Amino acid sequence: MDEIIDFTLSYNRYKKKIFNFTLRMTGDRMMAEDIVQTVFLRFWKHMHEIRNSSAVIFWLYKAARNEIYSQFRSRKRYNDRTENTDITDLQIPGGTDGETGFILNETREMVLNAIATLPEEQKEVVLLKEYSGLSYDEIASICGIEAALVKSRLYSARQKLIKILSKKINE
Amino acid sequence: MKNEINEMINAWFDGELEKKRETELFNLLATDEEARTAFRAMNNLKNALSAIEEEVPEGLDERILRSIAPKQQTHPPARKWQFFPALGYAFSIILAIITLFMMMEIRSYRDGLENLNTKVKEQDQTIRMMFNAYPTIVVKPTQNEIIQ
Repeated sequence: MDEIIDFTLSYNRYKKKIFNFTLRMTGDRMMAEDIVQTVFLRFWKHMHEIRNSSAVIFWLYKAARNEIYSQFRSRKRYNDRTENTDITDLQIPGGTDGETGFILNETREMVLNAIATLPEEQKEVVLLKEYSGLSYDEIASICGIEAALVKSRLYSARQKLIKILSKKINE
Repeated sequence: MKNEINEMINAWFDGELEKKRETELFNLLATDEEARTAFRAMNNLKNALSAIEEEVPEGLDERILRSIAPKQQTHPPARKWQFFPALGYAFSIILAIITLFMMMEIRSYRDGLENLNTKVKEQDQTIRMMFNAYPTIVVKPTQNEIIQ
């Protein structure tokens, strides 16, 4: 019973972060849902091995990242998906109809398209930073790279995004 | 210089800027228009990225939470602990048997000791009676005998 409670607590705490990270990395809603499901079911099986509760978020992001890359490799769809980001079925939060909804939708589309142009190694650090709120060192440990590289990738990616988005807004 | 400002702004937004450099950044923001523009751009980007965050579909919640339920039935978490009570019961039974055996042994030893004690007392009494049955012997020295 305790296991179910622990799992539900962790699930409710991290599901949104993991889902958004996966969705933006893959750009494919179906694939993202499958990955999130696989990650949390794997977490359920290995929960007893994760002794430190603060290690849960690492475990989940690492598992999600591994699963994303394994899906990319096995399905060989990565390039198609990043070029055609699944933005057609994006849900706008309730009460955003009319002009406001249109502007929000436009902004969303612009941001998603801008993210889709990033190389995957830059995209993953940006998404990890935005959705997990982890430190450079923690992201470095998840991606298996140096913290300095995380910092420089993050910087380059953000500059690129700012450039793309400001250009689009000015158009 | 511009890159340095941007790096500082990035680090500040990421919560990775050292406290002592924060003052430097705020001074720059107060005096430098370019720094302010970069700061605003970064702030807008953060807002734009958080605006695309989505809620987890309800169907996914249901799928995941339903998937963990069969594991609960087939592999109850209590299972690993069930081994230990069984071991505990077995150990308790063995201990009870040993204790019973020891108690019986002690009782029979005590009975044996009591029998022996009674026998010794009886023998002691018999010896006393035998001693008392003999006539009193008076030893008298003769005239020429020297008793040392």
